[in-house]
Amino acid sequence: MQIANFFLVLAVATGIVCGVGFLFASGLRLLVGDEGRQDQVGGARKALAYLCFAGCVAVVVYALYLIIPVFH
Amino acid sequence: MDPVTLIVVVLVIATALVFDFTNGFHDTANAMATSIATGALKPKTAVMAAGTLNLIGAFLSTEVAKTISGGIINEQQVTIEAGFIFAGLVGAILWNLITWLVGLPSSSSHALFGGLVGAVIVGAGVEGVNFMAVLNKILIPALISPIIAGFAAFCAVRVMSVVVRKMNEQQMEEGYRHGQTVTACLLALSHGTNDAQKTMGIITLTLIAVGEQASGTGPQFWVVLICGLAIALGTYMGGWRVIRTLGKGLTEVTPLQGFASEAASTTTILVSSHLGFALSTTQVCSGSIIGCGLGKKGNAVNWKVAGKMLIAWLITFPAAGLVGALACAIAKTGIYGTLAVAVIFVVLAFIIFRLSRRNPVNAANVNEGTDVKLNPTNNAAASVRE
Repeated sequence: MQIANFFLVLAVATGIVCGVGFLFASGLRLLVGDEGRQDQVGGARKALAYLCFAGCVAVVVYALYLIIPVFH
Repeated sequence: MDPVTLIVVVLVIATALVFDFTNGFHDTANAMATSIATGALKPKTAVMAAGTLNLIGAFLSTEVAKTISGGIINEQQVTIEAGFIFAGLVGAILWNLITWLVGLPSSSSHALFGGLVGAVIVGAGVEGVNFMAVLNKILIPALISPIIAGFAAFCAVRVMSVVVRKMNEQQMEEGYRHGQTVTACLLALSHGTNDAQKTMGIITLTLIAVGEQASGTGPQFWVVLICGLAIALGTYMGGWRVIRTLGKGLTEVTPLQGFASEAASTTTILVSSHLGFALSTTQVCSGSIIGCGLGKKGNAVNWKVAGKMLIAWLITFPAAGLVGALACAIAKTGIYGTLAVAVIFVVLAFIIFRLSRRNPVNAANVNEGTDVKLNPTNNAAASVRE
């Protein structure tokens, strides 16, 4: 493995994992609310939360696309 | 096919399936260790899911590698005989069993390549081995893959910890347990599509070598089926000793960390494969667990266990190679030599299994303790727990 490839894999993997992690964590926080502030969960926050989870699902679907050779 | 060739082919196929089985139970931990440790999945449910996904994965991809060794053996210069493959498999299986006994995760692919290289050196000479490929495909990835996955997991834990810091911990952990189920299943499916292929390739090339299958053709359905079943069964049996080490021995994993670790492992494997580099699943998963342990403030990593793992990774290739070389030296004397290797192999495997019974680890006690010990004085306690 070339050193440039190492950094490429490192950068892409870190970027994707942090992105998915951020989306999932944001979705959870928007859906559940902060501790003792569950009243803050409204319709708009729920919609945003589901949007975050939809982003995570899109990444999972793309991962399945990569895992299953028939698809590509 | 003459009777001697038939015996060798049957031995190779049987040994390849045993290797596939050990590959499965050795690697269950990669996908499921953190999910089991955090309680996202019950141990039996986890290995059942992993086994099923490995079986499905085996059928999703039947594109057998053109070379069984990925360029590590100069297959254009030397003819790989069935006896070499048999000896290499014996080396790989014994190394897998030894590392399982001591609860250390090690790469089944590296063990297989090591065994084959050892057998080829004895059987055909050093010119049969491409040492640059050994460096580029075994040694360097063994060192850098845990760094990549570990760094990704470390960053993910840091990012997520900031986002969820004001959340109720119980609700947050419940959410992450659901996420972990998805990431663990992706990892198990990915494992099934990759690892069952190795055994399919070995059996197919053996059949081609003895003229039972046309050159250039893919694996037959029965080959795909038995390989898928062997790896799935191995996965279902659960390498509980390795699961305990990865789930409990390296760091105390929370659901957030488990999610980060599994997501980092899956992403690193898929990104590297997509870019044309094959990294060891075992090393990637172990690295990401260490990374997620470091990512949480105040969380400790058991460096003693991590150090043992690193040593195991580094000696997997030469150790399996040594066993493969010894097996080949005996096997190349003829059919009686090959049968002698088979008998010695069965005896050693039985001894390892008996040793493992001194301190059994199973679904019931996999989350107890923090390290796998081979201390007979623990027998009574282990038996009581069971």
